[in-house]
Amino acid sequence: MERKPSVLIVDAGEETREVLGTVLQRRGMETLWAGEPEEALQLAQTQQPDVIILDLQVEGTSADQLCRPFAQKMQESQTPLVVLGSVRRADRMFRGEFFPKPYHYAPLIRKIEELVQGKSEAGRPSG
Amino acid sequence: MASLFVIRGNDQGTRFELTEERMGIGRDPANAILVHDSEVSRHHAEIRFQEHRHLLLDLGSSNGTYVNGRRITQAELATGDHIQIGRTVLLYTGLTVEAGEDAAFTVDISAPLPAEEPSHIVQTIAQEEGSRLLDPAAVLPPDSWLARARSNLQVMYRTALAVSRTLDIDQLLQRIMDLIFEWIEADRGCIMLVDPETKTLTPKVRRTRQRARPDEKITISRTILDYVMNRREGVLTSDASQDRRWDPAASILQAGVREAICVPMQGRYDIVGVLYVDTTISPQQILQTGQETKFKEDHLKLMIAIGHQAALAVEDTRYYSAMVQAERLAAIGQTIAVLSHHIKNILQGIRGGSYLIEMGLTEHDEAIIRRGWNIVEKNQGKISALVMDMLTFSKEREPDLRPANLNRVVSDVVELLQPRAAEMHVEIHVQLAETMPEMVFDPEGIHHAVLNVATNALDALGERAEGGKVEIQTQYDGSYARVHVRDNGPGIPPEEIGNLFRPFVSTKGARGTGLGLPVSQKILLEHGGRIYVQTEPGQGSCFTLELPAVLPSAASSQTASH
Repeated sequence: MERKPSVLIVDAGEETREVLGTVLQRRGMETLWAGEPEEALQLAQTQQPDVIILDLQVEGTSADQLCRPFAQKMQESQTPLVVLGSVRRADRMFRGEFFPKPYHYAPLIRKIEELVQGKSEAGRPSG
Repeated sequence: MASLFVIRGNDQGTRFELTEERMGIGRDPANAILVHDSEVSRHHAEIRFQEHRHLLLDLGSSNGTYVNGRRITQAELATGDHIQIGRTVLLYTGLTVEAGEDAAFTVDISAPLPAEEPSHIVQTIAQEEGSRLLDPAAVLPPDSWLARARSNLQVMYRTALAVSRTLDIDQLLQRIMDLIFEWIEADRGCIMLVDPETKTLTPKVRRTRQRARPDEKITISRTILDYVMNRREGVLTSDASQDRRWDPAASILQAGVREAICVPMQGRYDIVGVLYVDTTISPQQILQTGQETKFKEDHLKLMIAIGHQAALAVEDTRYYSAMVQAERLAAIGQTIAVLSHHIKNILQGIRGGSYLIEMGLTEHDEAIIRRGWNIVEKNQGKISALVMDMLTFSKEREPDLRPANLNRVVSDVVELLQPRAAEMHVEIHVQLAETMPEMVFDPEGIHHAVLNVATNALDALGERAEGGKVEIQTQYDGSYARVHVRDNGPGIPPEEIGNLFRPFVSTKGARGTGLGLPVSQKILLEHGGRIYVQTEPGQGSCFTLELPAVLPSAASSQTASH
C-alpha cells in the first residue's frame, strides 16, 4: 500500500503547528513534529519524511545555533528543506527553500506540495 | 572589546569593533573599517592584533596616518589615542581588561587611621584657594615683569577652571569672553566658531564695553580673519598703514580699527574658531596717558593660549555630544528591531489564522473557521497588549486615579488567565485579603501590571507545566496593599536578576517583548509603589506588587478645593 507523503516540522511555534498541521493533513499528508533538532534528527532517520520544515523562531539564540548542523545534515541526506525565518541571515546559512517572515501561507503550502510531489516522482522508478 | 570610534569626519558617530586580527582602514569598500573621506587612500592603513596589543600600520597612504598629531608608519595603540587619517579622526579604546597590574591590587585604601599611622593631616585647603596662589594683589610693583607673569598665570588658571566646568558651548564661550574682558582693556570682542557643516566662521559671542555703543556692529576685517585662519597665527594689529603685511587699501582702514588682536582657536586637529578683541584709542587718551598702545605682545601670547584652551574645550564638548547622539541612535535602532520582530510574529499568527478561515470558508467547514478565528483573536490580544505596553512605557498614558478595589482587579486578572492555566494543567490558587478597603489607584494600570506579572509566572512554568502552581495573594496592612504572585517554576538565575526590569531584555524568545516587567514597574512607581522579587533557583519566584494605600477620604481631602 502506498504510504502517505510525510512532512517533518521542526521547532515551530504553537500557531504555526496548528495552521500547518490542519492544512497539510487536509491535503492528505502526514505531519511529524519535533521540538528540537536532536529529536528531529531521530525522526528524520526513522521516518524518512519527504519534506522538512524548519521554523527558526528566534534567530541568533542557542536554539538557532543547534538548528544549523541539523539543516546541514538534512541537505546532505537530499531531503528537501524549507526554512521559515527572518530575512537577515538565514537565507545565507541554508541552501533550502527560504520563506522570510512574515510569509503568506498559500505560496508556502504550494511549495511544500511541489516538493512532496517532486520527491515521490523521483522515487517512482525505483519503487 | 576594543574599538575605534569616529569622532570627526563624515562617519562621525560610527563605532568599529576590532574583532579581527587584521582590519583594513580606507576608502575602498573591501576595508573592514570603511571611511568615507576623499582625503583617505583606498587602502590607507591597517590595524593588527598582535600579542594582546593593537598595532596601527600606514600602508603607504598619500596623506599619511597620524596618532595624536604625530605622523607614523607603525605605532602601538593605547586607549585614548586619536588616529587621524585625511579629515577623519578616530578614537581608539583598547581592551578593558589590562594585562599586568591591576590598580585595585597595588593601591590600598586603608581603614581609618590607626594610632601608629605615621602620616597625619598637616594642613587643609579648599579647592577654590588654588586660584589665590596667583593673586596679583600681592605686594609687587604693578608693572614689574613678575607682576605681569603672575597676572597672566592667573588668567590661564581661571580659563582652565572655566573650561572644566561646563559642557555647554555657548556658556563656555561667554565665560571665556568675560575673562578676556576682565583682563584686557578691550572695547569690543567676539568669538567666532567654524560651523562644522558649512565650514564658515559664525559669530557666537559678542561683547562691548560700556563706552562703545552696544548696538554698534562689530566689523572684522576679512583680511585679518583669512590671515589667522590660513596661517594659524595670532595677529596684533596696531596701525594698519604701518604694518607691511597689510595692504593699505584693505578693509582694515575702512573698519577704523586702531588696535586689534585676533587669534586662532587651535584645537587638537584643526582650528575651531577665532577670538577677536579690538580697542580704539582717541588722541585725547594718548595725550592723557602718554601711551599709544594698549595691546602688547604679552596680550597676544596670552590670547593664543586662551584660544587653545577654549578650542580644546569646544572639541571635547562636540565629541561628547556626538557620542551621546550615537548612543541614542543605537538605542532607537535596537528598540525598532525588537518591536518589528514582535509585530512580525503577531502578523505571522494573523496570516495563519486568516488562511485557516479562508480555507474553512471555501470548504464550508466551520470547525476550521473556528480554529483560524481563535488564532486571529489571540493575536489581536497580543497586539493590543503590545500597544498598551508601548503607550505606558512612552509616558503617553497618564494613570487614571480613582477609587477601586484591588481584590476585584486581581479576580479579573485570574479570570482572564484561567483558560490558559487549564490548557497548561496549571492550578491557580487565589487568596484574597478579607479586608481590602477601596483605594485610589489606576485600576486599568494595576490590572495590566498584575496581568503581566501573573503571565510571567505561568510562562516560568514552561511548556511541560504538569504539577505547576501559581499562587496569587492579596494583603492589606493599613499603609500598603500588596499582591504576591508566586510560582514553583525554575526560579530566576542570579545573572538575570539585574536584567529583569530592563526594557527589551526578554528570556522568553519570540513570545516576550521585554516590555512586561519594565512597564509594570513603571506603573507601580507612578503610584509611589514598587515591584520586588524573591527567587530561589529550583524553587520558584515570588513577585510582589506593593501599592501605598491611598484611601478615598484622604485623596478627597487633598483635593478639597474641587
